[in-house]
Amino acid sequence: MMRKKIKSIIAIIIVLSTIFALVGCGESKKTGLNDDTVTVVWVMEGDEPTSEQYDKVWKKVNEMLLEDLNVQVELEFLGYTNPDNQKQLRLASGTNDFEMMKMGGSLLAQLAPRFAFAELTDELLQENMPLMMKALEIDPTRIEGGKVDGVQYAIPMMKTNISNSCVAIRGDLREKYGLDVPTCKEDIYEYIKVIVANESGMMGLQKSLALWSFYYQGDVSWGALTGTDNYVLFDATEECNLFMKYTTEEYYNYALLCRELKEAGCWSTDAINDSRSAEDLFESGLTAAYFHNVDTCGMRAQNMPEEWNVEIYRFGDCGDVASSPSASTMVFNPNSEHLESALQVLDLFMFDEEYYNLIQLGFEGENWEDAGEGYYRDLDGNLPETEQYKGNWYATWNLINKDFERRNIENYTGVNEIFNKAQEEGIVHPLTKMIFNSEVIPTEKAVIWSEISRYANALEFGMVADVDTYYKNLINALETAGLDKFMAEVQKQAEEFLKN
Amino acid sequence: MKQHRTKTTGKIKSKDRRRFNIIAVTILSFASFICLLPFVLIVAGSFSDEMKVLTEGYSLLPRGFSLDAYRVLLKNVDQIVASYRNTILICIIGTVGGLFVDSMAAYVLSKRDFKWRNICSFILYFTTVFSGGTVAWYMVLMELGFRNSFWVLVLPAMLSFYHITVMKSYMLSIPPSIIESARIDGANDWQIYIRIIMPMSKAVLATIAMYLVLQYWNEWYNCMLFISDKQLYTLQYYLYNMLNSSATLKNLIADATTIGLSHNAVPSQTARLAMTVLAAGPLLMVYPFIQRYFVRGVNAGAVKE
Amino acid sequence: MGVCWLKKQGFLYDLKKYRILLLMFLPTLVWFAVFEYAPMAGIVMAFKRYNFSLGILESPWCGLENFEFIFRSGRLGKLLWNTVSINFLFLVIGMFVQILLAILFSEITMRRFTKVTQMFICIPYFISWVVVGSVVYNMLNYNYGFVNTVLVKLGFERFDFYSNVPIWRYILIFFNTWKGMGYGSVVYLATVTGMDSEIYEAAQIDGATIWQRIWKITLPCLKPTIITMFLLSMGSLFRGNYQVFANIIGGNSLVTQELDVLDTYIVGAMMSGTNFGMSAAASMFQSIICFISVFIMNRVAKKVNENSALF
Repeated sequence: MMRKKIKSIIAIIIVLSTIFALVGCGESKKTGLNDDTVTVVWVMEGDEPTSEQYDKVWKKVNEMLLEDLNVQVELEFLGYTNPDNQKQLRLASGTNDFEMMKMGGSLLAQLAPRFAFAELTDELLQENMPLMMKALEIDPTRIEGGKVDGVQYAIPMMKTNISNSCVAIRGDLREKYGLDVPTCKEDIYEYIKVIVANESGMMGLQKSLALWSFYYQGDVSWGALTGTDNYVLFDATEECNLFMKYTTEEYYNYALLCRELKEAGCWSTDAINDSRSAEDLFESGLTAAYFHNVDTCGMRAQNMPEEWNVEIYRFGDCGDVASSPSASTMVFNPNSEHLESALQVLDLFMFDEEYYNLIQLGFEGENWEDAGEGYYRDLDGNLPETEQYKGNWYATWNLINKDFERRNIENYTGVNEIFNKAQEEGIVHPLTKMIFNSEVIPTEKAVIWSEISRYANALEFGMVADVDTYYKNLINALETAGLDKFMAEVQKQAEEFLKN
Repeated sequence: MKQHRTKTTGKIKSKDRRRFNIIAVTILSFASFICLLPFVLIVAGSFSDEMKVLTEGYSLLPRGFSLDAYRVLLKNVDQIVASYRNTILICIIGTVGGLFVDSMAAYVLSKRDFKWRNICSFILYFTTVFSGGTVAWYMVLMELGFRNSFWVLVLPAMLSFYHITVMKSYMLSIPPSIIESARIDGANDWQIYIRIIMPMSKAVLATIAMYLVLQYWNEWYNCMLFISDKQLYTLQYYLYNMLNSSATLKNLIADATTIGLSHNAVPSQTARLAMTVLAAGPLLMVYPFIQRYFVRGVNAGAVKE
Repeated sequence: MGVCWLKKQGFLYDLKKYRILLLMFLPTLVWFAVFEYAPMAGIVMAFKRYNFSLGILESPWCGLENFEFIFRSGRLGKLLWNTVSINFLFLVIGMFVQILLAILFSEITMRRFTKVTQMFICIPYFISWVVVGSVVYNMLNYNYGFVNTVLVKLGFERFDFYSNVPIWRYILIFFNTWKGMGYGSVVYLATVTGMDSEIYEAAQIDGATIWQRIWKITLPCLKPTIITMFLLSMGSLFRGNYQVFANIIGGNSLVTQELDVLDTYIVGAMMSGTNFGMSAAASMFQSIICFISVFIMNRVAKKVNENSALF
């Protein structure tokens, strides 16, 4: 008994001492700066890059900021696990431990009407973002994308991105089977079918949403309404014509096409649960085609063997519609004490060319050099588009400003041409900058979304033999869920938006 | 203990015993097989060549042996070591603390003559059905200053009604006569708890210890919500983060070239599996230590003392 | 502690009488107060239109608006039926397998065999649902899945799991049972371990067979634990383990339509981000039906065995 007692006492001592040792661990942050130096914490998604380049750039940025504003910026990364969930909780907790946060369009649309963000009044912007105000004198609509119900909550990216949907195919295989250079979308589908029929072990494509974009873009000029998860579309050739994606004839035909491709064996039945990424499969030569926007297609093509001779195409005569600048914005913590400093910092990041280039591309002359007319040439082989640092392109995407934006001059063959053509033909519709406030009719939205999640996948993976009946069921379900009421609200908000 | 066991088994009718053993061995072998099979697939997959896994799926033997997945994952050795350290620490502290508090509560609730026994049980039970939701919970913890604190990984997960109830129902099966005789000797509740109940509850303590260890070992959610300091990441969160984002892995591509991988062959499927092996492997070795408490008669000595 | 000399029978008297027990219970009470009861205020969010700047308590009331979406779908009946039936099968089959394993482990005499198999069947618990999902995919895949490869080698036809909807109910039950069996059997094993071994010896002297022993001694001894565990699981009868559905069925909406449970419906509705009010409402709705069912079952359990009731 005695020995046991001693044992347990020792155990308790060990536990206690580890506990005390650990308490010291948690607290040791923020090293000695001047007392009046303000620290601005910027919360963003993703993981902190571990490269030296990243450290170097942000050290330099902070040095510059210390001199210009007596401010330091601290980056906080949320990781890739449920970032939206984390953001909502952070905002709800009323904490003041961060100043600004990167925010996507759909979450912005959802949280802004519930007063989650600091309101950016005109005085605040005038006082703290002089560079931006100057830029806005030329085109005041540039910050429209940050407004919800007429109130400015966010600073959107300063660029209307023309979304362009392309396809990348294997040139070597196309030639092997004697197919001509494709001139329309049908040729591509034909190519895929031929490959699947003849190349054993190859899939047609890894099914994703990108096929839908490819299917309709170019034939019609449709844009997506922010705040509806791309479910509500509008026709950019008309003034105010909004509709639900699933009720269009195009969607029905798309469902038929999917069934046809599935029947032809372009993907297997189990594709619906396949977690392998379309990128991986295409790059490994397991799929015949890859659908995405031109830059991403180009990036993949660059990674692939040269003898595969990857070709990138875009079809259709209708111009693509600009996607919303609200897709990536910066919002501010209403409880922060340093709102002004945060705005000043953002002003420099987005509208001061020196800061801008440093953050987006790295050190001039060391990492990149000017190649004229909005292009840069990569010097050390680290392209910003590859998601690695230089700049951690993905994380700082919301800072993009078209005045300073540069593209890589050494993109994959044809990429820059397709891109430029799409930009020229692109249509910028006022509704592009609208953010739909669904909080007015939350019930309808929730039920409609749930019905879509229940029906759409099976159609789009071509798993249903009787497309007709199944499609009718989907439409019926949407109507019971209150589609009319939902679309009426969409229409109403859009008309109001266009009036102002 | 051993003597006791041999005595029991020795007397059983051998024919009967043999028939039982055959059935038991068949069932258990089958169960082990279906449990082991996926794990073998995972281990084999983690050592496979990424391309082969993409084209042909998992198999029982590694397809085209390759250590790429581990090489990529273990690139960030410091982070892995720190994560292991944190996880082991929260396991130890959380399990010891949880066992102690849980068992005290269970003892109290198992006292038949404790007047407020039912009310207390109900207070605890109520929380398993109704809860205020993540938002309010998050706010309370933030208010208490748990952000970026080690304790947020330990405290909020320490107790559970489930564990208390399992212990309680075990303690109820301890013959009341033993407790009564101690009481007559003048022992108070604390002394009874320490001297009699605890030694007699080894099996259930081992059970709950195992549950707690597993729970803390798998801890990632609180880490995700409250921890931004990488030094405090738990292993599971670090791995989970990896699992959840091919993009995270793509970040590692930058370094992949330096460790001799071609860009195409950056493992993401196999890395997923390697992470499971890294997370589960060490814990599987703990199990045998707990196991020895699951043998009949382990408490027999305590009863007779 | 026969305390007959103190006549007072009030609250204060009890407080003094039970002071040690209460002190022992205090840490638990504090923990539950802080981590469970303090956040309880969040329940009111179900009746509020949540406003970030006003916080939980100050946000404006909105009546039952947040609950509407649960009833609006028009398939609440099917949702409830699916949830209960699938969870009930999870529960009953899971428990049966766990108890069976516990009894086998406790009776079998081959020590080394027991040790090894015991460890093996605990393995699935270590594998996260995400990985289970990809293992399932790789086992059932039509072209190169493990199951189909074996079938082909044995001379059978390939089996297309993914367009065979009814089979998924059993796949779910199988993997749910598979994942929890080792972990769950430990509780029963501990109870068997703790049983009074004198009864066993007595039984052997009487010449009882193993089967009789299991039937007449082990099972009755396990009864309180079984009832308790059953009641504990009842609390989540209306709350599916969303992870199982999300990772095994995934996006397969053909299957989801058949096996739609409350949780999948709710998650589908919240697809574009969580609405705090609605998720609170959904959770409250589930809590209430769980609570009612557990309350009734607990009453029944009390009649059967006073000690195995939860409260």
